Amino acid sequence: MKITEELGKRILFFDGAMGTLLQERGLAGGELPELWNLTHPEVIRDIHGRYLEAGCDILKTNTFGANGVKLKNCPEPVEKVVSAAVGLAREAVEAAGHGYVALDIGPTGKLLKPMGDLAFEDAVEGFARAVRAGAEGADLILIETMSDLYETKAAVLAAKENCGLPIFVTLIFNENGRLLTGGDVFAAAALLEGLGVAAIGLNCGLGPHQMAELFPSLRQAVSVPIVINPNAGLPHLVDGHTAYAVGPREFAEAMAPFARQGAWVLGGCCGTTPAHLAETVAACGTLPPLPLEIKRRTWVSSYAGAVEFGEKPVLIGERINPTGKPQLKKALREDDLDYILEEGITQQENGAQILDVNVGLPELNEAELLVRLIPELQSVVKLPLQIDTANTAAMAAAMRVYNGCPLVNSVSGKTETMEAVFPLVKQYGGAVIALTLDENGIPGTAEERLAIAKRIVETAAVYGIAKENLIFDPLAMTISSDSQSAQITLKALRLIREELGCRTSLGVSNISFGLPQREHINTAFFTMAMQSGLSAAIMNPNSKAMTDAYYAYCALAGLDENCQDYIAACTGQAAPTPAATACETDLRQSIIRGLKENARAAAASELSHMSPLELVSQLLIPALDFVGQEFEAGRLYLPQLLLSAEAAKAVSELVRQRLDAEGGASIQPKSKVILATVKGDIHDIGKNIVKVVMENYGYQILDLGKDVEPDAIVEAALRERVTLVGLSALMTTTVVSMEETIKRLRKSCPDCRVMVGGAVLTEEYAAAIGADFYGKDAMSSVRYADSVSDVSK
Amino acid sequence: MTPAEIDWDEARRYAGIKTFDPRLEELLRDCGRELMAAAEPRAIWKRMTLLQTASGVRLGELEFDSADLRRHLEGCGEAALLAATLGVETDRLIRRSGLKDMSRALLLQACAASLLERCCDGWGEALAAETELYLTPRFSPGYGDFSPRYQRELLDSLNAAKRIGLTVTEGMMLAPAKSVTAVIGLTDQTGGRNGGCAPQGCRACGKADCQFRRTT
Repeated sequence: MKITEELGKRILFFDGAMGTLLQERGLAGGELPELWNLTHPEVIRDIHGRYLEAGCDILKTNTFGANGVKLKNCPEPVEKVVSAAVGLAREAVEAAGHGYVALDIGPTGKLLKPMGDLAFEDAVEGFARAVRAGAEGADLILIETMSDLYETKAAVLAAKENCGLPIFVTLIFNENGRLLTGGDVFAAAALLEGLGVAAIGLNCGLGPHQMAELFPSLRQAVSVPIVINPNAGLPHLVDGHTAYAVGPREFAEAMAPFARQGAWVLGGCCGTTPAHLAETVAACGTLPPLPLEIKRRTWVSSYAGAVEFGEKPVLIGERINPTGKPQLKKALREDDLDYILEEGITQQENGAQILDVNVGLPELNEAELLVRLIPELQSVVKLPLQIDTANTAAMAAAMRVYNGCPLVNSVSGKTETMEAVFPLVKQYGGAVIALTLDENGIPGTAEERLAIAKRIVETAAVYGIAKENLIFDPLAMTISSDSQSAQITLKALRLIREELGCRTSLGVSNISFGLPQREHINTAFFTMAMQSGLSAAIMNPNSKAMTDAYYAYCALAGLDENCQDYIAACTGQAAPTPAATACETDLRQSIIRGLKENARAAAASELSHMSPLELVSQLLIPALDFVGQEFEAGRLYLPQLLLSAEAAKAVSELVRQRLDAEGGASIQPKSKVILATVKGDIHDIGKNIVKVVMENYGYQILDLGKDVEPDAIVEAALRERVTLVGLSALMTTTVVSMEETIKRLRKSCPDCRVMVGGAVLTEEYAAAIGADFYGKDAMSSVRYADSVSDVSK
Repeated sequence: MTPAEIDWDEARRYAGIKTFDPRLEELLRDCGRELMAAAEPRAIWKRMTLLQTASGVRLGELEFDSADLRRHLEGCGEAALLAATLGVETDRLIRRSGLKDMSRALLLQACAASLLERCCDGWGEALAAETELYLTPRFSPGYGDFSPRYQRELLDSLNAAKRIGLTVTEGMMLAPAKSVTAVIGLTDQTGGRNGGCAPQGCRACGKADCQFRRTT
């Protein structure tokens, strides 16, 4: 019988700890337990046998750390270790005449990029090696002890793409119900159910008593069968060794309530023994499994949490989309990802709950860009993202690398689109915005749009995608060309909601296209749409009028308990920014004191009687020079230098806008300088400080980021024909890559100067690795760059 | 252990602020509040037997080639390994701030460094209470000739990735970034407590021009 057929017919039992028992048999500290599959097969087989004798149904193979990443430096290949381990479990099952073999997959012990240095695809491949080697003798895959959802996704994809076995996933939560990397059970459930796993649960970290506290929220979050594999209590040290206090009888007594409350699979983790499991089987083996509670939620998630589309409308920020946004277009063309990240952060601060991400420009490689942008965006923004592209290859790549259960924009009634998009939703999970248009265009009546929606629901079902994963957009068309269009859209909204029971979304701003004062129309239409049952709006969260309409509607509609959100939004608006309280009106003083808002205001007033270029030469540059000198003299400190830089930047932006508007003269930038943190180094605050300050002094900075390969730096230096490269490294271990980069630069670009900086560097050390200059701080980099450009003139 | 707080003098020192400035102070305190909301300090430690070797020390199953570490642990019969982190959310906060306002990122960074030190002090006190022994100051990979290359073994030995989410990159950097690993000597001799029997970290370090170098 297959395990999925037996699941739910009776309570099934995982085995208990392997490591704990191996230590009893002499496994030394620092020794790899997985190697015992090869060196002590009889011990492994015996432990498996004892668990089967205890009445366990599912054996975890002794392969917890056997993945390509963790065993990278191990003398034995992963494949050999895994296949031996599966063979031993299989032999034990055959000898006992019952049982299933779970290929056990534990974490890599590394943090994925961009927070760590393990590439997502390297993680997938590391796990895939174990799956390919072990799937044949196994009945299921158990991905366990995961504390990072991104890594878990990599493991699930590796399993899904390399075998057809059911996948069970158990995660390690702390007592507050959060993973070490921040996610909660709802984020986990949205991601894992989207990926199609067969069971979700908890293991390790906690004992059964602590897990009992988490169980209600787990049960509330999860629709698939639940697995509970606790430790034998919380760990404590006895004579320097980790010990677990909960004995077999107590363990079993604590496990029974899980079965009574809906868990289908019970077992143990660290500290549990065949005796613990024998007692548990005796206590719970005859309990009938409760029926599953299928939630049918429409939801998406990020690494941190899930967002559900329910009665309360969800705000989807529309600002990361180049259509009609020249600044964003420019940033995309110049590969200025920081600008896009800032757009994301601003929308998050302004109350967006999901961010739309559209980087579609004809000259860009959308797939490549999304794969780089999404992880970066997710390192600074905790909101789920809506992947917005018409390019299915880009959509697939983005959904794959996304950390969470994605929202996708969009599919439509066009057969070709459905054929392209639905398999991706099946593969990576997620919800999809479905536009009610087809090969014949956008129908003119609400009834026809409903008909298309019905066809989309039916087609999705063929791909195994339930209707709750579809969010219908009945398309807001401007009222400037058809005065009935808003009414048609609103009616279609109501029909889809009432007749199909599906969630809806609208790109609200389209309604006012071609009209003056569009915000007036947008806010009124937004409120009308919410009143008609709108579940989500793609809108501008930076528009106060729109968010005001939203909070007011929710308060009036009974969707905001005690008007909390409404009051919070009002209070938040009233709070003054700390920097704006001082009243400096003089531009020079505002820059020196680093008062950004004041500097901007003062510059605007100066521009009424002087030209932008005069302002730069007579006020801005002298103020910056003063700040630089004061910093060098030790009278101003680094935070103040940076505050001044931010203030000066605000003035420069205003000047640039004015010059662009006048269309005449422009400020001649100084030369272009490349900055990079070297290969292997992931700390970039020093480099970023230098960047901010150098930009302020007029340099064009090409920031290659962190962990940059030497050849990538050389290539950029050649391509951009720069005369100065700045390199940063934090530690002696990464100064090695700095030295290597300098060598290669010398060879390929002999005219290029190299300045270096970083915590462990000194003037002598810098000279020893062949650098031209050691920058002790940000200002010294500016001074050196000035001297280099003087020479080159 | 009571939750640690930021030491503002230290935070100012890390941020390079040498005299009191009311506006910077206000910003620093504001960053401190934001950091405290994001930081999730976690630590683990383990007592191990300590043996001197010809070129360094042996701690349980671990062997470290480092004359400076050996000197630091002189007179100690035992040592503890400590791994501590403020968690990945602190890294995210500093990154996020750096995109909008570099001065804030710098101040957050300084607050984080101070908080982490204070947390480590607190964990040290807990360790002292638990062992009823005196502690040498913390000595971390990267100090003196104690190579950062030992980070991996040190973390593996504590099972730090699984227990507190602390990992190390190929370049031997800790991830999350606001993290510490250290060896702490344990001794029953009173002189050992808080710097009595061993040189301070700064004096073991070769970077003589460091602006954070302690001279006392």
